[in-house]
Formats: sequence, structure tokens, C-alpha cells
Amino acid sequence: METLLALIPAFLLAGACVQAMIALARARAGHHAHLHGADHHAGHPGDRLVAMLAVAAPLASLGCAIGVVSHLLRGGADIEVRLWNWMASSAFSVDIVFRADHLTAVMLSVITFIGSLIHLYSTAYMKGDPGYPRYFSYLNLFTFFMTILVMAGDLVLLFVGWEGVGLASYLLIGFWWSDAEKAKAGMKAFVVNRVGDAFFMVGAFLLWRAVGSLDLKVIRGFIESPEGAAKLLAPAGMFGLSLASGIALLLFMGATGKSAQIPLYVWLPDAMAGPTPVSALIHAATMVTAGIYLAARLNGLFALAPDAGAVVLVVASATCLLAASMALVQTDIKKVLAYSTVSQLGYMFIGVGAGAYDAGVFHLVTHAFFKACLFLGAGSVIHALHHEQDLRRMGGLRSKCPTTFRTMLIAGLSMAGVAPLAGFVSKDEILWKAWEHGGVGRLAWLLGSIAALCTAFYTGRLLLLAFGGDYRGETPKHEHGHGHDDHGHHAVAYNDIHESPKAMTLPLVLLALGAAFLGFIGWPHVLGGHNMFGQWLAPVMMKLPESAKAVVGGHAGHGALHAEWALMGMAVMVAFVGLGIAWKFYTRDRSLPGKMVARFPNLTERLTSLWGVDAFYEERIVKPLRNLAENTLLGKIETGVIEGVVNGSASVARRLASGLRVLQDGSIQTYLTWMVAGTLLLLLLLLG
Amino acid sequence: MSDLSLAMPVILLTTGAIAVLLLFSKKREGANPYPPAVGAATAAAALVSLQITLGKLTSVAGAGSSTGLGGFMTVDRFGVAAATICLVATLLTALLATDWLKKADANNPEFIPVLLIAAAGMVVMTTTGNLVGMFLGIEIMSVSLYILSAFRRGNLRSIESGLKYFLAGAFASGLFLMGIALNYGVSGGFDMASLATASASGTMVSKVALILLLCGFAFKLSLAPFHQWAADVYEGAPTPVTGFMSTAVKVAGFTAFTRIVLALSGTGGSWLSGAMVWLALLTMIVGNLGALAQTSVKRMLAYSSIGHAGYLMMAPIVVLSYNAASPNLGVESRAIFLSTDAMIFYLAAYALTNLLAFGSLAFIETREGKGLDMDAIGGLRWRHPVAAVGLLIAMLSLAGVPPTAGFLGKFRLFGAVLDRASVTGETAFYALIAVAVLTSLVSLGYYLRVIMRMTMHEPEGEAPVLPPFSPAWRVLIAVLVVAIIVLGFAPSFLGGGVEGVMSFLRTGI
Amino acid sequence: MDWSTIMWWVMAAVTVIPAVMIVLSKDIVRLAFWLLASLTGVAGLYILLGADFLGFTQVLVYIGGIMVLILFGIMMTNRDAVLMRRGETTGGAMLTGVVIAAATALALLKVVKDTKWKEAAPVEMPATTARVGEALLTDYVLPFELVSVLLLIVLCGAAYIARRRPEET
Repeated sequence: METLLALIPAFLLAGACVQAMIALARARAGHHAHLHGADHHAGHPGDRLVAMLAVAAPLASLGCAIGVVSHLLRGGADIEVRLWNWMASSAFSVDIVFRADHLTAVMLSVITFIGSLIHLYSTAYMKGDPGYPRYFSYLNLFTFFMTILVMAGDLVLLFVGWEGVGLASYLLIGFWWSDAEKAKAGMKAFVVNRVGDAFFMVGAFLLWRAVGSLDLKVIRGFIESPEGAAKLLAPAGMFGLSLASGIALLLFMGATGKSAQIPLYVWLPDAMAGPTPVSALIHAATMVTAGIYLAARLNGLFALAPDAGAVVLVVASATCLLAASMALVQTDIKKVLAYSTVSQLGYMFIGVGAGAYDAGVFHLVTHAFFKACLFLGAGSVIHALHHEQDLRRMGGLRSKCPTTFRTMLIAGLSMAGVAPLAGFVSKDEILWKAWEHGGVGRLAWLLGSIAALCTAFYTGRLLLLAFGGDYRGETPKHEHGHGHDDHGHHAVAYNDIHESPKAMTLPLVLLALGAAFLGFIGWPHVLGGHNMFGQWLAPVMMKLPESAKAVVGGHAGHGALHAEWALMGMAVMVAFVGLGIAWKFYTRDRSLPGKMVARFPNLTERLTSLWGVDAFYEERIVKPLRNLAENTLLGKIETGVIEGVVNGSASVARRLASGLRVLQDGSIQTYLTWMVAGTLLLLLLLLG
Repeated sequence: MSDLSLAMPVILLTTGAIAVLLLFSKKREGANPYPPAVGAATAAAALVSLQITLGKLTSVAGAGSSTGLGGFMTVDRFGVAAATICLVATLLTALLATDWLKKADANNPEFIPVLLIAAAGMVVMTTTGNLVGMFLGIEIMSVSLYILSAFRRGNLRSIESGLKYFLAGAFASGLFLMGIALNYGVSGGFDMASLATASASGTMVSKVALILLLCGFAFKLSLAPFHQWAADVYEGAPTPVTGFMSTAVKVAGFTAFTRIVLALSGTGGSWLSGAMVWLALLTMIVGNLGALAQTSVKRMLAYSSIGHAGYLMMAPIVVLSYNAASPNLGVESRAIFLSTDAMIFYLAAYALTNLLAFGSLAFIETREGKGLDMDAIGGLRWRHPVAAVGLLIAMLSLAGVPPTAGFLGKFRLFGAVLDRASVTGETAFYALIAVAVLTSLVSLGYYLRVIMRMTMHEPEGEAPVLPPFSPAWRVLIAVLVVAIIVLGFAPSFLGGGVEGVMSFLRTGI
Repeated sequence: MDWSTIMWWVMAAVTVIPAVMIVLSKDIVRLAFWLLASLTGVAGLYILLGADFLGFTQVLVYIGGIMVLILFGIMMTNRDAVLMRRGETTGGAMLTGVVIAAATALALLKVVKDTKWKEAAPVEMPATTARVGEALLTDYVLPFELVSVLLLIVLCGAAYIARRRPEET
């Protein structure tokens, strides 16, 4: 069983290496081909083999994951593999250790299953691309790091996976493309993520200071022991927070980067510049949920920090609503889904903040299915329309792409919260837990419910604009806002639209099935279920010692049955109202959207400018920093403007040529002056 | 153990240098592969002798170090680890330079001997316990580097670089010597113990002596405001030399400096840390912001190396904060252990990474005969995939992205400082860690810019038809890439050389 | 003021005044002669300190050897080419440099003046030659050898850089 666990990442790593070698070998040959004018779009004769290898790696991992999960399902003990010592010193020792418990099993199943489907989908979607093996190398590498992240038995190793997925995602967004816009999107994603990571690291260090180890098992033992919990509950001297709250907040701030929460969500919509299967895998199903995984993994720590939980609730519900509002007006099909993802991640964090970690993880799972299905469906549409992503130029695809339509409909209804689809069950569970939590939880419930209304509306809008009505792609193209003309695509005639190949529709069907029926594994008690999912995760939940419970305050107890019924009824109603409004706007009376824009110009403006957040970051952070580096006194000294010597020694060379000595290049005197000044300064520091 | 065996690496390196000088001094047309091979073999032999000495050292129970040759050689694990990194850097530089040496204006047989002598100077710097020995080591290393910087005699920028380095370096040597002299005036000795005596005396002269020593090192380590020579020198020097300078010199310099600080820690020398904190903060900010403004890759890497020096400077600061009066001496010596251990690891990771970066750049430069501004690496991914992969890994490691060695280095170094911050609760440590984290975020900006440029198609025109790859070079790049990742993921596979380096220090304090 | 103090001041002046002149002079031959004077002063200081061997070596090596070499070097190359020219340093930069250097010098002087130096009682100095020789081959054998390595590399570098250049690019 240990071997099986270790093999999961091994297959993926091997796959990534093999693909990288093929890519390197081809890049060399391809360069010559390029010189000789060969056509890139014809594809490479070896692409079939590449595709088979690419799908084989995650499939093999999926096989191993099934083995691991079935072992756990049969009631087997958690699995642990200790590979080698990573770093050792007397004060600090970290092993490379993998563990699989019930939570890891859930994550592994999602990652390897959806990962395999998306690899399969990609073999058709990326067909003919000159960078075929390189793409799969990155995709395998990404899946590898994702498995590392969820299997890590140690917070440092987890961080390696955490950073690794960010790196692979950066490569897939930025390294993939050769145009500057997309490279910038990749860079933005990377930099924003690193801001979060800085907080993560500081949080991890503080945790290590307190616990003396970063091994997750040791951390759990520490939290569950009365002494450990007491130590974590002691004030940390930071804004009157307890140590646990401080660490939990820092880790949550780290998670806001990876899991796209306020204030660090801005990278995710831009990351849609990557290929669509990448958006499905990385920016919907797996990587962005790492923050929720982290919180669920360290649930005891968050449980010890109710004030941190309140912050999480506020941030998460605000993100949830804000992103949902932004999704209302997006015209790019992928951008709608991107903001929707940010919003859905907000729901998951509401679960975390309310202490319902299992509900958060459950929504993670269902979201992975319905959102991956929606993204892949969007990809199928984009594929059919030859890279058209603008919703205003779609329509009427229902009869042309029937499978895509049906699967996206199911996934969309699931996301909109139509009972009894999976999305309804998990979202309702979270909102109920938030209500039950009381206090800030009620606020989160309110914001979450409004967001649910938005969700239903924009989902309906997306489906109706893409599949309903008549095809609008044949009308002559006019310049609109941020056109995507740079692809050089031309409108596709309605009759030329075809459904995507089997390799693309099969994953859609499987994902739609999940989006429909997965809810039953977490069917709530109130509806006569047993919430098997919650029970499955119960062993992962840490049991706080009684002494700590007394300080933190126990769980708010079970709410009344009728309240749960009432809320559930309301949620269903909200979903139908949202969908109904969308129906009214985009089928019954098509002039309504225009009227709304005319009626509320300010609101529309705010929404389309994304509440001005992106512009704020650009103006207030990026530009000043660049300014500081280039235009201030400091920058000028460093670039040599001040002493009138232009950087690089071209001017020096010129002066040399005119017969002067190198010595008389002014800069060396200046350097020496600075050095003496430095010495003097240090002496004065001492003498004064 | 005989005294002579302590100096064996130095003897081997010098002998190798003289042998190459005598055997290959006749310049001949075309490539001569023998000097680099002999150079690499010599460095390897010195490495082996170093490890043998270390082996003998550890086989004597309880002995963490061995002092000999009139107290001028103090071989301990700390020094051996640092010297090992220097020698590995020398070996790799000799190999990486093979290709470059074939270029017409660099094809001179003196390169390898000068490189070996520089390495001898570094070994002396890292394994001496005496200020005079340290000074001689620094001078031997520096003079060799002046020559190497100006090695392309036909190239004005190279000559200018050597000359600037020489002038600024001579000045720094003056400061250093004055510091030694004043210290002698107070304590009457040249060894590390004399520093402790002088420091314990608390007189003004002893403090000035230390400030002057600090300034001398600040120059060698390119700490702001003693850093400005670095950008010009790094840019002008031949690229393989820049790689060597930016790595091995830092290793030797930081080791020697830490030795001085170790002697001071616990003797009331902690007043110095105020000055060091300011230097470190200024260096981090200047280095990283300066790098952001550069348009030449080499200059950018020069500023980046200044930034890294700022991070590394935090380790001696932690060492200096050792409090001999603390009731819990275990915690105090753990701080020293953690920080020096982290420093050595950081240096090893940084050395490999920068050698990879400059190795890749040297290749591009040699092959394409262009300068190394940002345009030169535009579209590199399409032209030289191997060089692009090398540069990619190097940039990621410099930026501290896991699973590279650079990540683990930053992780351990920042961790050591944070640990100290939470023990002492001093604002200075919190300030250091905050600035270090913030500036390393800023640093992403310029490292990623390199990656971005590499991935973009060249704007116009026919790609140049390339001369064939040298397989040896490709193997070297691959080895470095693997080493950086292995060091990031499984450093214990590299043996006990780096790990557990500090047992001497733990017992010695 | 006894005669040794007077001698000290004389030697100090002989060392420092020519040193200043070196910085100010423009003709390289004069510069070389000022250097000669300064080095003589240093030799005198050594002898005053009782380091007779060192003093004589200084005279022998620097004054007798190196200076003659420099003068020969100047004589045999084109004198015009090595005439020093005034730098392009602006007045402001010059002023900054002078002020900072002066302030540093003052700070150092203050420290030296404020320090109570340990004064050893004057003792009869035996001849040092034999002892220096012995020390160089026992305790100081390593630095001694290192200095020779340093000289070797300096020699090597000087030869390399001064060798006939390829065409400048």
C-alpha cells in the first residue's frame, strides 16, 4: 500500500520528464523545421504517441489512487511513506513524508480523476499545436505537484507542492504563449501568489516556533493536547490576538493568494489567458482549492481561533458576493466562469470560517465537477467556434453541439443551486452551517444568499446566450471594447459548426454525471440522508481538549429543524428566481439588459470596471514601485544618471577612443567617494 | 596530523597553477583543451585532500578543529564546507570556461593558473584563524580576480572592469589593513582570540578597528554603499569570470567575516550589529530595486547578487546577537548553529545557481557574439532550448521558488532570523525579516522578466544559423540543473558535507 | 623632547609630505621621485621602531630595486604618453570628496588622540635579522609562502596585461 501511494506522484513526474525530453528534442528539430518554412499547424507525426503517454501518466496515478481509497474505504489505517530525510540539523529536521488519510483520499480522487479527464480532453483540444509535448509536460508536472500538495505529511513539503502548482500554472499561462499579454497574465498570477506565499511562510514559521515541528501529525497531536492548545491560545502580542489566531490569519492570507480571495483574487480572471483545459484543471478544479485544503488540514488550528474564523467569514462572503456581481456583466465566456470560480471559492471559505470544514471540502468536490464541466464545455464551444470567446457572438448552439449543451446545462443548474443536484446540496450545507454559526455567520449567510441569486442569474445568462436564441456569429464583426481580434480568427458560418470529438465529449459526460449525482454522498440528515461525506471526514477533524473548548466556546449546537427546512426552501427559491430573471432578460425581452444599463449607468460602469480594484493595484502598487526603482534619487544613483555617466560603458569606450585614460571616467571617483562616505557614516554611528 | 596536510589544498592548487603555466605557456592556434582539464583536475584533487583532512579531523574523538602552521591554519567543518563550495565553483568555472576560452581574444593559457591561485586564496580565507593569513588570502584572491576581470585584453570594457575593481579593491584593502593594525595596537595579536580581547576591552580604538574591518568586508561582499563597483565590474568582466566572482568570492568573504563575528559574539561586540543591520537593510533595498531598473542581464544579475549579499548578511547579525549572559545558553548556541548552517547552505545553493545562470549566459554570448542586454535573450526558448532551461531554473532558484535549492536556502536563512526575532523580540530582526521578505517579492519582478523575454518570439527576422552545441557543455548545464533541484529536494543525498557542518561551533562556544 | 621624538617627527614628515605631493604632481618622473622620498621615510620609521632588518630591506628593495625599475620603465617608454592629465571630475564632486575624506580623517584622528595607548617601556633592541629569519621559516612559514604566491600572481598578471595587446575592439 505504501508503494502504491508513492507511485501516485512518481508516475506523473516520470510523465512530465518524458514529455519534457520529447519537447526538448523536438524544439531542436522544430527550429530547423521553422527555418525551412514547415507548417506548425499540421501537427507532428509523433503526437499520437505523446497523447497516449500523456493520458497514461494520470491514469496510472488514478489506478494507484483507487487502490489507496479502497484500502481506506475498507477501514484500513492511514498510510504513511517516509522517503528520505530532507534537511536535518539539531534544531530542525524535515523528512520527505507522504500520508494518506480520509481527506487526502478525497483530494487524490478528485485530482487524479478530473486530471485524467482533462488530459484526455486536451489531447483533442490541443491537437496540431506545435508545443504539444511541452504542454503535456507542464500539465503532468502540475498534477504531480498537486498530488504532492495533498499527500504532504509536512507543512514544508506541502509548501513545495503549493509553490509547485503555482509554478506549473505560471508555465501554462505564461511560458506557453509567445505574446506579451499572456506572458504578463502569467507573471501577474505568479507575483500575486507569491505575495500570499510570503504570509504563508511567516505563518508556518510561527507554527514551527510554537510546535517545534512542521510535521502535520505532530502539529495535530500538539493541538489536541491540553498544553499545546493552551500555548496556542496564549496572547501572541500582536494586536491582542492569540497565537493561534495570528497563525491562522497568516495562513489564511496565504490562502487568499492561491484560492483567489479578497484582496488577492485579481490574478485568477487574467489567468484565463491560458488554454481552456488548463483553466478547468488548475483554475477551477484543483489548484485554487489548495487554500481550502490547507484550512481543512489544519482545522484544529482554525477552531482554536474564532476571531480568525470571523475574519475568514467576512472576507469570504464579501469575495463571494463581489465576484458574483462582477460575473454578471462579463462578455467573455471564460471570464464569467473565472469570476464565478472566485465566488464559489468564497462559499468554500464561508464553510471554513463557520467551522464546517467538511462542508467546505464537500463543496470543493462538487464544484470541481460542475465547474470543470462548465469550463470544458466552454472550451468545446470555443473550439467549435474557432476561438470565439465572446458570448455576444454565440447563440443557437443547442442543436449544433447537443452533448455540450446538455452537459453544460446540468452543470450550470448544479452551480445555480437547483435541487437535488450536487451543487445545491453542498452550497446549502455551507449556508446552513453559516446560519447555524450565528453572529458574523448570519451576515455571511445573507451575502452568500444574494450571491446565490447572482449565480443563478449569470449561469442562466451564460447558457441562454451561448445556446439559446439565434446564432449571432455571422453578423459582421464590429469593434467592441476589448476585442479578441488578435487571434486573427474569422467568423464561422452556422452550418460549419460541429460538435467536438469524442475525446472531448466523454469527459463532459462523466463530469456532468458527477455534477448531477455527487450530492447524494453528502445528502443531509434533514432530507433523510446520512451525510456520508461528513462522516467520512470525521476522523480528520481534530478534537480540541476540553480546556481549550472552554476558552474558545463549543460549537453553537444544532439549529432547529424547521429553520433548516425554511432556509433550504429559500435557497431553492433563490435559484429559480435568478434563473427566471435570466430567462426574462435573455429570452422573453431582449431589450431589458440595455434598459438596465441605461437605468443604472453607474452600477454597470462599476461592474465592468471590476469595482476599480485592478486599476487600483496598478496605480497604487505596481507603478510607484517601478517609479521608486527608476526615477527617484535611489534609482538614479543606481542607474548612474546622477554622475552623468550613462550606464554601460559605451560612453567610456568613446572617451577612451578619444585618447583619455580609463581612470578619468568619473564613476570610479564617485564609487570611492561613496565608500569613504559609508566608512564615515559607520564611524559616526559609533562615535556619535 | 602533520601541519603540512592542513595546507595541502593550497599547495595542490598552487602546484597545479605553476604546472599549467610551465606546460602550456606557449600560445598556439586553435583550442587547447588541456589547461581547463588540468585546472579541473587540480581543483578536484584539492577537494579530495580537503575531505581527507576533514576525515582525519572527525576521526579524532572530540576534536572539532585542528590548528597548525603557527596558528595560521585552522581547519574545521565550517571552513571545510565553505572551501568545498569554493573549490566546486572553481572546478565548474574551469569546465564552463572551456568553450569560451576558445574565443580568439580570450585564448590565453594564463586563465586557468590565475583561477587556481584565486581558489588558493579563497581556501586560505576560509580556513585561517589569523587576521594576517586572512588578509593574505583576500589579497591573493583579489589580485587574481583583477587579472581575470581584465582578461579580455582586447576589450575595453573588460580592461576598465579590471582597473575599477583594482582601484576600489586597493582602497578596501587599505581599510582592512588599518583595521588589523589598530586591533594589533589594542590586543597585541593577530589571531581571532585577539579580536575577542580587543572587543572585550571596549576601547574606542578597538571599535574603530572593527568598523574598518567591517568596511573592508563590506566592499568585498558588495554591501551598500560599498557596492557600486560591482555593477560595472560584473558587467565588464568576461561572463565566466563574473559567474566565478559572484559566487566563490561571496562564499569566501562571508565565511571569513562570519569567523570574525564568531570571535566577537559573546564578548560585548554586539554594538557592531547596529551598523551591520543598517548595511544589510540598505543592501537588500538597493540591490533589489537597482536590479529592477537594469536593462542588461549581466548588470541585473550584479544587482541581484548585491541583494543576495544583503540577505546573507543577516546570518552574521544573528551570530553576533549571541548573549553569553543568557540563562538559556542552549537557545543562544542554537541561534548560531541555525544561522551559520543556513548561511553555508544558502551560499552553496547560490553558488550553483549563479554558475548555472552565468554558464548559460556565457554560452549565449559565445555563440551569438552579442552583448547580454534583455534583447539578447529574447526568444531564447526557440533558439537554445537547453540554455533557456538552464536560465529558467537559475532564475527560479534565485527567486527562491521551490523545489529549487534557492527556496530551501531562503527558507532556512529567513527561518533562522525569524527564530532569533521571536527569541530576542528585537525590532531589528523583525525589520530585517520584513524587508527581506518584501524585497524578495520585488525580486520576482526582474527574475520573471528574464523568463518572459526568453519565451517571446524574436520580433523580426531570420533566426541566426547556430554553430553546433558542445555536448560537454550540455552535460554540465544538465548536471547543474539536476544539482539545484536535488539540493532543493534531497540535500542529504549530497552527503554530510554541508549538513551538520557546525558541530565545531556548537562545542566551540 | 628627546632626539628620538624629533627623529620620529622628521621621518613622519618625510613620509607624509611626499605622499601628498604624489597625489598632486602631474609629471610621472617627479611623482616617482616623491615616492622614493616617501618610502625612505617609512624605512626610517621602521628603524626608529627597532626593526633594523625591515628598515634596511625597505631601503634595499624599494629604493634600490623597485624605484630604479620604475625609473627605467619610464625612461624606456614614451614619456608623453604617461603624463598625467587632470580628471573630468567636476568641482562639486571634488569638494564632496575632499570634505568626506577630511571628515573621515578627523574622526580617525580624534579616536587615536582620545585613546590611552599602552606604552611599553623602551628596551634595548637586539638585532632582529636572525630572529626574523627564524620566524619566517617556523611559525610564519605559511604567510611567508603565501606572500610568495601573491607575488607570483602579481608577476603573472602584470606580464599578462602588459604584454603586447591584440587590436583594441
